Amino acid sequence: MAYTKDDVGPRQVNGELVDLSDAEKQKIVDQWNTPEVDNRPYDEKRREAYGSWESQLDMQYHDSVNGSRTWLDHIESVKDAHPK
Amino acid sequence: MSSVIKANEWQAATGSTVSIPSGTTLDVNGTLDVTGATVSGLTTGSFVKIASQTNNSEVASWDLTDVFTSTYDAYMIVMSGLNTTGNSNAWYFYLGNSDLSSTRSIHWQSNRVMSTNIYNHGAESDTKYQFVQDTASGVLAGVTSGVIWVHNPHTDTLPTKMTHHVETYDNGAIGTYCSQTGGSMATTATSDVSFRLDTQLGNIGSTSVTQRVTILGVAH
Repeated sequence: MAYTKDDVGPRQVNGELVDLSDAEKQKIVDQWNTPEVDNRPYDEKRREAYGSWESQLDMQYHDSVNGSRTWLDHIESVKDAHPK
Repeated sequence: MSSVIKANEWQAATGSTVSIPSGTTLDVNGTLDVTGATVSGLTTGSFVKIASQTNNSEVASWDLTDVFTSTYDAYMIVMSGLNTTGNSNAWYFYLGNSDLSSTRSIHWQSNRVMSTNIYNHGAESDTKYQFVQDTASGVLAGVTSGVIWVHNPHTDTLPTKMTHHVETYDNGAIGTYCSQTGGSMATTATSDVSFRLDTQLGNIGSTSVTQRVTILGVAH
C-alpha cells in the first residue's frame, strides 16, 4: 500500500490538533513509503526467519513420514533471502 | 475567612526570592509551570507530574513541547494504549528544540524478547530512536504500553540518555507477545526540551482506544 498526503492526519501538539502543510505531509508520506532499512547481520536475519526449533522439528517429522522436503525448502529459501 | 488575590506576576519586595513559609501549602490546582524560574524547596524523593495528555483520533504525530527544564535531571514518560493504523510497525521517539524544528541525532539499541525468539538491534544511529521494533495494528492486544526514561535532557553539558521498557504484540508468524527493552543517547550534548512520537507507517491513534502519555519529573 502506498500512502498519499490524504492519509496523513493532523499533528497533536500539547493536546491541540494542528493541521500540517502540504510540504510537511509530503515529508511524512515519504517516510511512510520508505521501507525501514534492516541493518542486522545476515545470521541474525536468518535466525529470525528460520523460526523456532519446535516448528523446524515438526517440519522434519512430517517430512520423514511423508517423504517430503518442506524443511529443506524452508532452510534453502531463508539462506537465499539472506545471503552471507 | 478566605480571600483571593489576583495578580499577573509575583515579585519579591526585596531581593529576588519569593518564599512560601514552612507549613504552608501552595495549591496550584494543576500543572506548576516553572519555566525560566529557579525553584528550590520542592518535595524531594517524589515524582512530580509535568503533563498528561490523551488522544482518541488518528494523528500523524504527537508532540509534547517544553516539558524538559532545568528543574529535574530525570523524567519518566509513561505511555499506555499506543496504537497504530499501520501493521508491522515501529514506534519512533524524537528529541528536539522547543517546536521540534530541529531534532537530534540519536544512537540506539534494543532487544525484542518474544515467546520463541530474541531479536536485537544494535549500533543504530538516526534522527529518531526506535523504542518499539515491531508491533501489530488494529487489534486491542497490539497496543503498546510502557515507559521511557529520559536523563539530563535540558543540560547542554551532557548528552541526553534514554532507556525504555515496553510490552507490545506482534501478530506475525513467530512470537506474539513482545517485551522490548533498550536504550539510546543523543550523539551530541545539546539542550533538549521537547519530544515527538510517531511511527514508521501511517497515523497513530484511533477512536476505539485511548492513548495516554504522562511525563513525570523526578525530584531528587
